[in-house]
Amino acid sequence: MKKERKFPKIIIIGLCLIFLYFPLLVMSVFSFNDAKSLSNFKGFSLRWYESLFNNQQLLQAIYVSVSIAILATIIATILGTITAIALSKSKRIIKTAVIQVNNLPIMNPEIVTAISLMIFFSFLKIEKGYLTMLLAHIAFCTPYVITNVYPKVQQLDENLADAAMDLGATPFYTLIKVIIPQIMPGIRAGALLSFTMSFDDFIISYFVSGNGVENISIVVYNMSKRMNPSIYALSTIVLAVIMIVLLLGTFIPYILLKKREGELNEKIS
Amino acid sequence: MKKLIELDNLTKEFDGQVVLKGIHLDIYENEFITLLGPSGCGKTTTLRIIGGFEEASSGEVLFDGQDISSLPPYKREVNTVFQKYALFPHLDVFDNIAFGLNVKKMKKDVIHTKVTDILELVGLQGFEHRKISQLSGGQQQRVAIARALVNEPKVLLLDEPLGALDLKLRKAMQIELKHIQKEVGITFVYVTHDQEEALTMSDTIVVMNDGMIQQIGSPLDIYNEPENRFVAQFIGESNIIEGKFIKDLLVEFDGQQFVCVDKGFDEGQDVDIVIRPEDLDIVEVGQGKIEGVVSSIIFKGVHYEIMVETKHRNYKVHTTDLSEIGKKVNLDFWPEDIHVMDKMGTY
Amino acid sequence: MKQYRKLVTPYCLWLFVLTIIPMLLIFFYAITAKGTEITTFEFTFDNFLKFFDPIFVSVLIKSLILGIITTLICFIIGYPVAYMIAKCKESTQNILILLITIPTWINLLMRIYAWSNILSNNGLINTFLNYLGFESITMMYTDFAVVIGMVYCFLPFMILPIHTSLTSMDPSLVEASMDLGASRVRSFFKVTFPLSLSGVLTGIIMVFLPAISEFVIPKMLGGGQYSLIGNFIENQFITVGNWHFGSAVSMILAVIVIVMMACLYRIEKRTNIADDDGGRGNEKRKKIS
Repeated sequence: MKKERKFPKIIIIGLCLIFLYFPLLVMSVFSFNDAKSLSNFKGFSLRWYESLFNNQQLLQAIYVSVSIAILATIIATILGTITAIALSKSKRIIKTAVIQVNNLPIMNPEIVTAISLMIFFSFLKIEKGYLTMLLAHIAFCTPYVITNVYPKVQQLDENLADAAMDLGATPFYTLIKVIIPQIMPGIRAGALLSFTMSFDDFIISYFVSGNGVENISIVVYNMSKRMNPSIYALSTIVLAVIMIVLLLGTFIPYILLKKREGELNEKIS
Repeated sequence: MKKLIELDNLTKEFDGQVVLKGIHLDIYENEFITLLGPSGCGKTTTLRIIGGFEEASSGEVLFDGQDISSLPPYKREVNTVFQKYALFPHLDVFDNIAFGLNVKKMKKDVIHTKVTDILELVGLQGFEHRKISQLSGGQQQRVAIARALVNEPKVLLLDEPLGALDLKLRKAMQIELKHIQKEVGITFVYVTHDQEEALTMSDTIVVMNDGMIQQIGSPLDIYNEPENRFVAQFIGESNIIEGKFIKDLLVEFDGQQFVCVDKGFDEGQDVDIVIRPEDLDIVEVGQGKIEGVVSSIIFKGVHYEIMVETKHRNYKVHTTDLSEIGKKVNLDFWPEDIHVMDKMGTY
Repeated sequence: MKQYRKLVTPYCLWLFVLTIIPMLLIFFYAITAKGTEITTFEFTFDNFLKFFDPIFVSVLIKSLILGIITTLICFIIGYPVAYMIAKCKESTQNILILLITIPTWINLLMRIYAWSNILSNNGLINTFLNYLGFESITMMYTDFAVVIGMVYCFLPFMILPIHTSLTSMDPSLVEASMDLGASRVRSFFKVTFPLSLSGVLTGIIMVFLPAISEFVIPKMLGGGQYSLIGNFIENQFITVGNWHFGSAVSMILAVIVIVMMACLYRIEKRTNIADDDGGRGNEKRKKIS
C-alpha cells in the first residue's frame, strides 16, 4: 500500500485547483490593471477600486445585497429555529406536511420558485422592490435553516427541557437558556448558509425586484455585455473578505462547507 | 406525620394504551418512599405526573391539600433527579446547580453560598468549574442531586437515579442518598426496579405492576407479608405453592395439612402460600415435614442454593449447610414461615 | 416541551402564503388563457399542447443534452480528484476540501463574468495564442463556453459527495479484497467504486438538475440567442410576456426535476444500505480494538 506514487495525485488535484482558481486569479490580477483591458496587464493601479467607490449604482447594489442578506438571515434564522423546535413536538401529520411543503423551495428549480413568487406579487398587485426581494429571500432561506436545525432538535435529550422546567424555568426561559444553546451549531450553520445564499442570489432577486432596486448579482448581470474592471475589484474585495474570515476562524467555515454539502444532500430527501 | 402529596384515582392513557389504572397513594412529610416494579408498570409515569411532565387522563394530584393537576412543572414545589441526569452540557457544574436559583433571580452572593454548601453536602467541593463531560457517572449523579436539592423543594423525585452506575458505586450511593435525605429532611419519592435498592433505602415501598399498586408497606412488611403472588415473587426469592385455607391457623398443600399463623381467610378458600427459601431447612429423613431428593446445588457465595425435588414440586432452599445431589432428605419449616395470600387471577 | 407545539403556526401560515399559493398560481396560469381576473379567465390546455412545437422540443432536448454532457465531464474530472483527495492525510484532506469549496462562496455571476473575459475573442486565452503565433479561436457564445461555465460552477458539488462516500468507507474492505487475491485495480472496480455509488448519485443529482434549469450561464456565455429551458421560461415572462405558456413550461420543468429527484433518491437509498453497513462495520471494529 505504501508504494503508491505521489506524482499522479499531485498532478490531478493540482490541475483541478488551477481550473477552479484560474478565473479568480485572473479577476484579482486584472483588478489592479492600469488599463481597461482584461487581457493585457499594463501596470499596477488602484483606479478600478476608485471607480468602484465612485459608482453609485454599484454602491447602492452592495448596500441592497448586504442589508437584504442580513435581514433575511436574521428573520429566516429566528423563524426557522422556532419552527424546527415546534415541529419536533408536533403531531406526525403536521410534521410530515410541513416538512414536505418546506422541501418544495429546496427541490424546485430556482427559476420556478422565482417566477412563482413573481406571479404571486403581481397577482396581489404588490409593487416589486426592496420589500418583495426581502420576502422572497426569507422564503427561500428559511427552509434551509429548518433542515439544518431540525436534526439538532431531534438529537436533543428531551429530559433537558423537562429538567429546566422542573427547576422553575418557564418555557420561554427554557428555550433561551437551554434549548437554543444546545442546538446552536445547527442554528449557526443555517444562518451562515442563509447569508451566503441570500448574498449570492441572482435568479430569485432578478424576478421579484424592480423599480431600480438591484443587488450585486443583478448589476453584474446587466453589465455583463460591457467590460468593467470595477466588477473585478468588487469580486477581489469579496474574495479577500472571505479569505480574512477564513483565516480568522479556520474551523467555522469548514463546518459550513460540510453543512452546505449536507444541505444539498437534503435536497433529495 | 403530615400528608404532603395525595394521588387520587390517577389514570393515564397513551394512544389508547392504559398505563395507570387508578392509583391511590398518600405521601407524607420526611418520608423516603419508593415506587418499585418491573419496567412498564407505570412507576415512572406516576413520578412524571407528580413532577408535572405528564398530565393524568383522570384523577387528581393534591399537594398540601391543593389540586395541582394542571400546574406546569415550573410552578410546582418539587424537583426531579432524572434517570440519565439531564445535566445541561453547555453549562459547568456551578451553573448547572445554580440554574434554578438564577431562574428565581437570587443575588449572586446568595447563589454562590448555596451552591458551595450543596456541593459540600454531595462531596464535590472544588468541582465548581468542571465541565459536565469531564465528570464520572457518579459525580454527574451527585451534581444532578445537588441541582435539585439546592432549590429546597418539599419533595425530591428520583427516577432510577442509580441505574447507570456500576454495582459498587450504586451500593455506596444508596447509603449516601439515604444519608442526604435524613440530612435535608425532605420527602424523597424514589423510582426503581431494583428490589434490593428499595429494601435498603425506603421507609415505605409501593409495589406496582401493570398500572396498579400491589402493596404499600414498610420494607419489612413487604418482604415478610407479601399480599399476593406478584409481590412475593418480585421481592426476594420465594417458593409459591397453591393451597387451601382449611380454617384459621391451618392450611393444606402438597397433600398435607400444616399449622400456620394466618387467620381471617374464608374456610376452604383457594390461596397462594409463600415459603422463602431461607426459611426452609434440609434435615435428615424422618425429621422434617416434606420428603424429597436433592436435585441440584449451586454455590452462591454466602449460601448454597439447593433444589429439592418432592412429589408435588421443586423447592428452592437457601442454606449454608452443604448437601449431596441425589440424597434423600426432608424439608422442615416453622408455622410462622408459611405466608398465606389471596389468590390472584393473573399470576 | 409540548408547550412549544403552537409555535409551528406562524410558519404554516407563511408556507401557505409564500409557497403554496404561488405554486397554485403557476398552475392556475398554466391552465388558463389570457385574463387573470376571476371574471375574465378561461380554461385551456393549449399551453401544454404547445410543447409539441418543434422549437420547444429542441430547447428541451438541448437542455437535457447539455445537462448530460456537463454531468459526465464533472464525473470524469470529479471522481479521480475526490479519490485522490481521499487518499491524502486527514489534515491535508480538510484543507483541500475547503479549497474546493471556497469558489462556490463567490458570487456565481462574478465568476462567470471572469470566464466571459477569459474566453472572449480578445480575451486572455486568445491574447496568449496570438502571442504564440496562433490564430484566435472563437469560444464565446458557443456550446463549449456554456459547458465550461457549467462544469466550473458545478464541479465542487460532484467532488464533495463522492469524497464523503469514499472517506466513510471502511478501509479494511479494500484490504480484505486484496487479501483475497484481487489486484489493486480489480479491488477498486469490485469494491471501492460500487460502495461509492451513493456519493456519485448525490453528485449527479447536484449537478444534473441545476444544470438543466440553469439560465444565467447560458445567457452570459452563450449569448442572447442561446436558449435552454431556463432561458425559454425567462423569455416567456420578461420578453414575450406570455405568462400562461411560461407557467406551463415551469410546471413541466418542476415536475421533471422533482420526479427525477425522487427516482434518483430511491436508487441512492438502495445503494446507501451497503454504505450504512460499511459504517456500522467500522464502528464495530473501533469497539473491538
